[in-house]
Amino acid sequence: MTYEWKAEYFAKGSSKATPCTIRVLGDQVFVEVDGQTHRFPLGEVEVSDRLGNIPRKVRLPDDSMVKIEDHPDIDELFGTSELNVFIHWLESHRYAVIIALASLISFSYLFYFEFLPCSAKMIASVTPQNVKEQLDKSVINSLETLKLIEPEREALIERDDYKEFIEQQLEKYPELHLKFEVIKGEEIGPNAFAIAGGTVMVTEKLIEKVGSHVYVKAILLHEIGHIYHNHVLQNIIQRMGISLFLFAVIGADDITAVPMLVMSSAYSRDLEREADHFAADALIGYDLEPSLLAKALEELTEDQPESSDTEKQFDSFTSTHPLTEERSEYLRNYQSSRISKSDQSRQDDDDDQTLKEEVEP
Amino acid sequence: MEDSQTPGVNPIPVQQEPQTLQFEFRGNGWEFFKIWIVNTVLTVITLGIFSAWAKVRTKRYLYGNSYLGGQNFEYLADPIKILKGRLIVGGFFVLYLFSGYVHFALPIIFLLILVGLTPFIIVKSIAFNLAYTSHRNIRFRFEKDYPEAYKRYFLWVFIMVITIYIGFPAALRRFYDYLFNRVKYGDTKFTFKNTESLYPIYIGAFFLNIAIVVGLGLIAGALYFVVSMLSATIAVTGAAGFIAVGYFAFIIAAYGASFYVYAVIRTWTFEYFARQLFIDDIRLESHLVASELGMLNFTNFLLILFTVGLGTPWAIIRFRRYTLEKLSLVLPSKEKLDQFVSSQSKSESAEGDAAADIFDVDFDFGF
Ligand SMILES: [Zn+2]
Repeated sequence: MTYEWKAEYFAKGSSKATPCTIRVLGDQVFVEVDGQTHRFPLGEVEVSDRLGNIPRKVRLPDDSMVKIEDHPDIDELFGTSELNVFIHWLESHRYAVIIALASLISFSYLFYFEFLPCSAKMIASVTPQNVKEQLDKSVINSLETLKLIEPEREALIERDDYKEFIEQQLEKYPELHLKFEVIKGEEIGPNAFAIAGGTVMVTEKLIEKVGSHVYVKAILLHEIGHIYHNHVLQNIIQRMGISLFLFAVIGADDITAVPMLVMSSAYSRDLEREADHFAADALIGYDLEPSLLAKALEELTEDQPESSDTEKQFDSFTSTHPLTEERSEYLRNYQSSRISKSDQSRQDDDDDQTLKEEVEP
Repeated sequence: MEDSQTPGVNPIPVQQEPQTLQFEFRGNGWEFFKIWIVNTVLTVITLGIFSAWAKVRTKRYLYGNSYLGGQNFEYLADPIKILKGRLIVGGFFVLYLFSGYVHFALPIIFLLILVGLTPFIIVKSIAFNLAYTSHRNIRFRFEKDYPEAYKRYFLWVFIMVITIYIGFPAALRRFYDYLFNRVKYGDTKFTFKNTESLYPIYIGAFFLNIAIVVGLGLIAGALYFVVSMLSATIAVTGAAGFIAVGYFAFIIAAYGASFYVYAVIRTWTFEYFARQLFIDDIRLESHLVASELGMLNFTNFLLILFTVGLGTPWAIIRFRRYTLEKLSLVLPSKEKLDQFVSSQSKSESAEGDAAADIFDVDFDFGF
């Protein structure tokens, strides 16, 4: 093993490089420069971490410095940190690099599609109701400030067509603190959305457009599904997590102007499916076909007019809830798998007949 | 090393001629890629905690491979301090995100606080980065002057706003003056003469930009005219394809031109520094060529784009090598570099504050 190097010596506070010899013997470091030998205890000497093959700097207790060209024995001799030796080992091995690349890709995938939604769901499920209501207040506030919704809104329960349906929902899910409101303004087009604390808003335009009350109710059930599964909050937390993650990893780094990922305000497909699932179950509970929801969405998307600027800004219901073929097929096939169960539920929920009577007069 | 004298040979005294010393970059793309990818992965699996170490290792690699007169630069910052700074910023960011849900005016208040702190943060970051940059065992230093920083920052931001950015070159000149006249290498002060305006550079670049866009437009128009004349005779689909390709080429050319204009500004600015900036009796020489630099940046951009970011380390190495090796110092004598001193002790040179590294305002000589 090498324990002696030809090196360069810089006296304290001087930029002059003087040739020297540095030697490590036992727990002592000897620096021989200009015919003189300086001696230092090894424990008080600091060596810069190994990185690529940049020269190593040995900092001596008297603020002088010795520069040695990099050499593999330096770490063992001077006893530098194990962690750094390990990181340098990773950085200089081809296979470690290939593994790093593979794990980077798989980690990003897992983080984005598994870890983030899962932890967001957990946080959302333990968030107390009053925090959600606080959140709702500010959302409603900003919607009102932007004049997207009017401050005085009609409660949907006031309408005879919906009274019984809504009362049933309130009774069934008291813990959700449901509230249904109608928006009369035309600003946001045919639209329906849920906010975290349990309020579902639906526009007059949507009610007009889908025609039948049953369709409106199918859509409302889908929105209740979002509230039931805490999707609104989960979505907010998830998006925050993504921006924090991006900030931490690439955030403040100078040259790496990586094109920022475009985050959509829409729910992920998984969340939509969960809400659809909820609505489908509820429709079966009413002894109705889950495909009603698909039909309702079809009504909504039919001859969709050019959306106005504010609509685009707000994302109309149909653009954040695109009725894909897959989704509609899922809804249409949903019933067949549940047929046996729906027989049973017919007997259970006698008072859930209202919806059925409406659709089959 | 190269300037060690051979013993026994009696040096004949010669009249000292000015010496030109070129900066040199010894980094290597593949080596840097390995470091970069390992550090990125460690950052990701530690959920960002390692990012401070990754940053220090990256900068140490780039500085440590930058040489002047056979000696490399060093970046000595402590990752723990950078981590603390990032945690503070992260906390601020979380508060900012959540605050909107509590009250819609809160984010605005946060932004106002941020604006009020900006000069402080910039000065602090410059001081931090310089205090941890070293060459030949001598550290750089920045003499902070907060009142002056606040005065200049708000005055010139105001002037820029009311002049719709026409005041920008004047503001930038005030910034260079503030910055460079407070930098020290050990005990030796930098001097920024501040006798020359930056307007010729920016007005020149502005007209150059217009000339390029008009020129490209004329060429595109002429081509379109020719093709539409020919389209009467040749197949229509062929002409349409040709127009599509021509349009695409025009977009690429216009985009490439913006890289060129940026490179022109940088080239001229470095020539400006060469005339204005001195360290004692040492002066700077810049040999940047705008077309080379523009092409380099453009190809780097394509490299990053088509490798989904994985080509970034190579792009960084190419950029550093080119910009550094086109830079040299003119010294009165070769011994000059041996004669710098620093009377500062180790503890004095430490820039202690945690939030110092917030904006990563990097002050380095183009590398
Ligand atoms: Zn939905």
